[in-house]
Amino acid sequence: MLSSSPAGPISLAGGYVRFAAENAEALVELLVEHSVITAETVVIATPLAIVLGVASTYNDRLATVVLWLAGIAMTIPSLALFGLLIPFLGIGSPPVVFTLVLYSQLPVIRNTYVGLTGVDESITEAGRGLGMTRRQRLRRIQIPIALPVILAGVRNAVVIVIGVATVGAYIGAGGFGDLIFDGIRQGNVEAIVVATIAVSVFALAVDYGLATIEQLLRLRNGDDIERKTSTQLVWRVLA
Amino acid sequence: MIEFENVTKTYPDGTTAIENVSFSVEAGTTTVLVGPSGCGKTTTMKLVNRLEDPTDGTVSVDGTDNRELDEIDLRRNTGYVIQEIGLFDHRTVGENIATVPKLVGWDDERIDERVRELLDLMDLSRGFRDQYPSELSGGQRQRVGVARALAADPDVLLMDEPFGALDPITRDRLQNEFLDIQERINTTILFVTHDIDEALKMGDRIAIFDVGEVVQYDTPQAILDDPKNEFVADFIGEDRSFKRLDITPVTEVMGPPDGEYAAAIDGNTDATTATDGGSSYDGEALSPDDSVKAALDRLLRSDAPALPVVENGEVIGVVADEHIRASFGRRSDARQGAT
Amino acid sequence: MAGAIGTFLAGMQYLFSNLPEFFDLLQRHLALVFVSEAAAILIAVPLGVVAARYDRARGPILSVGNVAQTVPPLAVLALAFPLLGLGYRPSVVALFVYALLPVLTNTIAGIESVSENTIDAARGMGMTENERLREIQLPLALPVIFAGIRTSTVINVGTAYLAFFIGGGGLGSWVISGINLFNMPQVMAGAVSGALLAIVLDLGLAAVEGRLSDSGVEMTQSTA
Repeated sequence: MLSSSPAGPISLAGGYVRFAAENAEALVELLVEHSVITAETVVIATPLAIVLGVASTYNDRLATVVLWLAGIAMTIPSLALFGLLIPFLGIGSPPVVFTLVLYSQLPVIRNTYVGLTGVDESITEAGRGLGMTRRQRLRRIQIPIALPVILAGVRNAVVIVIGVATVGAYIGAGGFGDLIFDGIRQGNVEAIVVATIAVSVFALAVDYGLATIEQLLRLRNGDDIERKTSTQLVWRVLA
Repeated sequence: MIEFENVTKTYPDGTTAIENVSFSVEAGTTTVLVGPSGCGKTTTMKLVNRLEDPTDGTVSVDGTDNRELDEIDLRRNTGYVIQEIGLFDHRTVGENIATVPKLVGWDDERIDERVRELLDLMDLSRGFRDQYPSELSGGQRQRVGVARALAADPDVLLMDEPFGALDPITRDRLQNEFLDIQERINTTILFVTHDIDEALKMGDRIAIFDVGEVVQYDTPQAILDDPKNEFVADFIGEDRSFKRLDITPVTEVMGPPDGEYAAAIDGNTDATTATDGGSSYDGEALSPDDSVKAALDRLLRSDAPALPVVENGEVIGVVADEHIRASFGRRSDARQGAT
Repeated sequence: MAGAIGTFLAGMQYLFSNLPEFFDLLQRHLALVFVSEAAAILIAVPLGVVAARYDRARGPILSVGNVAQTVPPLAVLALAFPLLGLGYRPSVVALFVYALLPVLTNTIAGIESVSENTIDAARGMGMTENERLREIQLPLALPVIFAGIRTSTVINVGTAYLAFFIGGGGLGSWVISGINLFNMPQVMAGAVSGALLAIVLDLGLAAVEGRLSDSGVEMTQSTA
């Protein structure tokens, strides 16, 4: 039950550290589970969303429909979607990954679309002038220029995925959510706090890493940006 | 009257926009600040309504150092027009124009009347009043911008490249209209441009800027006749004789109507009467508003050795090649004599 | 496919045969969403104004906001439990925290998207800082701020399902107990009603947003 001792903040923090140390092995396992779900989702969702985003740039009406549907998908509560998929996909990670793929679509499709259509008209026009076909222009001009924007969409999606995957633990997908639900059920504050911090740090770290890659891509495109320390470092090493 | 006295403006990052600039602008006249981009002309203008404050020296308005004036009051008494116009997109044209009168608390009736007056002045139909800026063309938007700046009858009007973003035809039309308006309002105008032609056309006086300092401050005529140094001469361009022809009215060079050309213009009186003194491009007669450049153009296209200048149906003078040459000759002689 | 339709129909049947309970849950859900959202708007908009106005405040406010948004919603709710206990109030607080950021970032973005020229003109005309904010920046930023409120509200409807885990009630109760008891009609009834609620709120707010934009506020139109 809830530890009701009038402990000061230091001993409280000490409690969390002790809990984390005692459960280090379990935490690593949860991290692996969480990472695998996230990675599976990204691997399936990103190509799908980029294809849909590219297709959308060919046809305005398609763009409207695709973005609308992706938007609707995001309004369905994750927990409900998990539940509804159980009869079809069983419990564990399949229904969770399915849901997460669905949730990832909007940010990536939107950014792909915005990134591709946002490429300066004169640049694609120059490509046309050089005799590039539409496909060549897309591959050699638009996608490379739009890449940072697309990656920003992926980054956005990944943060959502990590967050929602936490809830997926409720239907047996594993990950840090397991510890949070255990903590709530058992009234174990240490478990809740440690799990919360762990999953937040995980999300922040992935977000930061992707942000660095995004910045590197921008630098490669010759954009003038305020560089993160990490970007600065990697950029120097590469240069 | 606006006076700049040894004004220097240095930004916190160390760049000096202008250094030791002094000049004064007579009340009721138009002074144009002209120069290449980055020469400090816009900064100079912003010192007047205290969008910038000088690092050194003083800017005074009607004898008072403007740093002693409340900056909000000062700005409300100073019209301000910028190239990008900066209309408030969420407000109708009428509301945009009424901004300063509302800020200073005019009553609704007076505001209403003033807005109507300004729409008329700027040649905007009253239907525009309830439209939003996004529904207007570039030229119309700039008219609204000028109307908004004039709304509370400011003593001073600051214009930063007001016609710079317009296409050449619209720009020319707005310039001409503004010259008319300028005569009807008694406002001291400070006008910034990078376009020397615009400066020559709009200014009573012109201050030519080069990296942070005023190189020459004089009337358009004087600048064309006697550019102070190579920078000014380059800035004006090689065709400065044409430019001078363009800003000189025919009345300044024409000869008497009863002189040696009386016979030459005799046959022209019909065309003259027909145009009734207005500026006409089909008839060959000139009106007093025409420039010497227009006169030369028509002389070159005409068989006649001279053309009459007609005002209200009456011939008041005559222009022939020699008058145009003479006007140049006199000046260049005078200059050679002086040097 | 037939299975999905069958579950859907069964879900609707469940809903209509339990209408009084449904309205009870819906009411609780709405109370969670509206109270937390209203609080988020009341805090985030002024905070956004401060951040947009004072460069020094913007960095810290945005970083804290961004970090807060990266923390998973379940984690925020779970943390409310040790801090505030179980029930409706801790749930509202957690939802409030999670609803803040979209409104905050859009307020800042909206105010900053007002073109420099418009501000320059307003300054040159002698508007004080407060006048500029009240009469120019906020009205022009309104559609963008509202878009943030819309996003935040839709997310909030979904997040509020999780409030059931810490005793906050709402539609999550049907979904979660449905999952626990493998009662698919019950899960369906809880899921569909929440999704509909989110869509209805989204469309309603979108309509208001559209009207805000139509009343002459054209953010896409630059003055140049």
